Amino acid sequence: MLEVRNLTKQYGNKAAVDGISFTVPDGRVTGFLGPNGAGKSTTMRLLLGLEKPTSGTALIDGKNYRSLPSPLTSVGALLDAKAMHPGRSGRAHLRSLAVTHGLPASRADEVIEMTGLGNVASKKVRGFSLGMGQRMGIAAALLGNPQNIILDEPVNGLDPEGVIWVRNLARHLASEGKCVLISSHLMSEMSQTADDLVVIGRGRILANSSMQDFLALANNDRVLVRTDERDNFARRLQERSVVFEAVDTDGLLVQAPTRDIARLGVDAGVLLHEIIPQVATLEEVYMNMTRDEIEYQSGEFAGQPTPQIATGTPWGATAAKEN
Amino acid sequence: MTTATLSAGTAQASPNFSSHKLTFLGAVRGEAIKFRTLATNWIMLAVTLLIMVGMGAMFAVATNQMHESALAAQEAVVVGAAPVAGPTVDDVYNYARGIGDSGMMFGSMLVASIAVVFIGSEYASRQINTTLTAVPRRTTAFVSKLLVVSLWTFFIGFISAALSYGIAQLILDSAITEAVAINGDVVRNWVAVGIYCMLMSWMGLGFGTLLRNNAGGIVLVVVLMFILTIALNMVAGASELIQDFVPYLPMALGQSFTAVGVADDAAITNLEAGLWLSVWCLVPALLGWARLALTDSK
Repeated sequence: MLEVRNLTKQYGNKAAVDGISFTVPDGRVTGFLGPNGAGKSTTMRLLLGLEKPTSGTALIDGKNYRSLPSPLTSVGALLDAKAMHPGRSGRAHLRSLAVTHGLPASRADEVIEMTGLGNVASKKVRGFSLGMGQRMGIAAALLGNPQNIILDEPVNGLDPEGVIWVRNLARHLASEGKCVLISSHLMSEMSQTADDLVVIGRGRILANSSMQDFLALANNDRVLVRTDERDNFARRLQERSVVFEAVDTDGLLVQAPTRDIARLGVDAGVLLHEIIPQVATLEEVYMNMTRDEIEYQSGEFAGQPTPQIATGTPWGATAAKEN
Repeated sequence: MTTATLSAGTAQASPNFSSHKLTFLGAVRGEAIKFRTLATNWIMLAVTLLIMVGMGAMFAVATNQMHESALAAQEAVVVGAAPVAGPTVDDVYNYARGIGDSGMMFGSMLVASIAVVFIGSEYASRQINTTLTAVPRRTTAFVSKLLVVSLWTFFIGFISAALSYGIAQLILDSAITEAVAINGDVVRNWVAVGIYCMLMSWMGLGFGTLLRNNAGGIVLVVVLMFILTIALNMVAGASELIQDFVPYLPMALGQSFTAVGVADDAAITNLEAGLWLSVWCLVPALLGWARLALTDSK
C-alpha cells in the first residue's frame, strides 16, 4: 500500500506538490492523472525517495522508501523508459539490479522473456526504441516481483500489443493483491485499466475516488434525441423551458430525463427515432476538471475543425436570431 | 516483439523474493557488473595501461642517457674536474627502480576520468534514478561505487607499474639492470602507483558526483592536477609561501609518494606524501558523497 500524507515539495517559490494526501490500496489499480507539470512524476519520485519532501510523508507499506530492507521486492518502479546507461546491454542492466538483492540471474532472463525482449536483451540500450525502453523499464520494475508497482506513463511508445499487455499486466498484478499506481495521459486506456483515480492539478488533488464515482461527477442527464421534425420538437422543448442544444442536422442534446422526453414526443406527435442517454467519458470529466489547472496550455489552430458534438448556441437562441 | 501472456498459470508460478534483502555486498556486486559491462571502461583501462607502459619504455631510454651522463660526471670528479650538476649514478639506479611510476601522471588523469565517467554518465543517462531506486541508501550506493572503482584503478596502476618495470628491463643498459634487481623498493613503487591511481579515482568519483557531469568533473581534475601545479610553479619565485606550498600540490605529492630512495629525514617522506595526497583526494570524495546523500538526485 502506498500512502501520501500532506506531501509538499517546493522548488524555490513554486510548489510542485502542495500538501497532497491519498492512499493507493492493495489489490486495486489506481490511475494517477493530471496535466503536464501537475506533479505526478514528482509525487512518484518522492515515493521512491529520489527527492526529499519539503514536508509531509510518502510511505510504502508504512515505511519510508530509504528504510525498506528490500526495496526491489517491495516496490517496482518505471519512472523513465531510458533511465539506463546506453552503453550497457539490457540483460547486464537487469543483472546489475538483481544482484543487489541477491536475486538469481535467471530472474533477469525471466522478466526479459515476460516483456518480449528476448531477442534484443543482449544488445546495447542505445539502440532501443522508446517502446523497447519502456518494456525494459517494466522488466526492471517486475524484477523483484514486488508488492507495489509504480508505473509512470508505461504505455508511451508501445505498440497496440504492448498497450494491451500493460493493461492486462496491471489488472493481473492487482488480482494478485498487489498495489498498482499508474500515471497516463491516455484516458481511454486508463478507463479500461484503473479501478480508482487520483487526479492532480498544479500540485493539488482535484479528485480521489473510484472510477465509477469519478464518472458520476459529470453532468450526466443529457440525452441525444434524433427526429425528422427537429424544429417542431425544439419548439415544444422551448415551451417547457427545457435546456437543449442542436447537434448535427437532426439531433438535439436535451437535459431532461429520458422518460419525460419520450412522453413529450408522444404528446406532440413527433417521432423520435433515437433517444440515447449520454454517458460521460473519462476524458470529458477529466478535461472539465483540469481545464483551469493546465500549466502548459496549447494554442488553437486557425483551421481547427468543429467538434463532432456542437456545444454552441442553444436552439432557442438560434431560432430567435432567425426570426 | 511479443509479450508473454499473463495467465492463471503465471500467477501461480509467481515467485516470492521477499526473503531477498538489499545488502552492501550485493550493492558492490551490482556496481562491479556495471563497471565491467561498459566497453568504454575497458577501452580507457587499456589506454591507461598502454600510456603508462609506453612512458615507462621511453623513460628507460632516458635513464640510459642519464646513466651515461652520471658516469661521465663521476669520472670527471675522480680526475679533479668541477662537479657537474645532475643526477648521480645512485640517483639513476633509484630512477630505474622506480621506473614503474614513469607514466603515472598521465595514467592517473585517465583513471580519474574513468571514475568521473563512471558516475557522471549515470547522471547523463538518468541511470542514477534506477541505481538509487535499487540501492536507496546513498552512503551504500556511493561507497559501493567507490570500492569498485578503487579496486579497478589500484589494479590497473599496479599492473601498469609492474609491466613498465618489466619492459624497461629489456631497454635499460645491462650495467643498470645488473645493479637494480627487484627488491622491496621496487615492489613498494608498484604498490604506491596502484594506491596513487586509486586515490585519483576517489578524486574523480568525488568531482563527478559533486558536479553530476562528465566534462565538469574531468576539467576539475585537470585544473587541480595540472593547471594549479603549473600556475603555482610559475609564480613560486614571488612568494616563499607559495614556494613552500608547491611540494604539497597533488601532482608533487604523487611523485614524492611513489619515489624510490627518499631519505627518512627528507622534507616530505613517502608516507607523509601519501597522507597529504589522501587528504587532497578524500575531500572531493566527501563533497561528492555529501551532494549525493543530502540533495535530490535530479
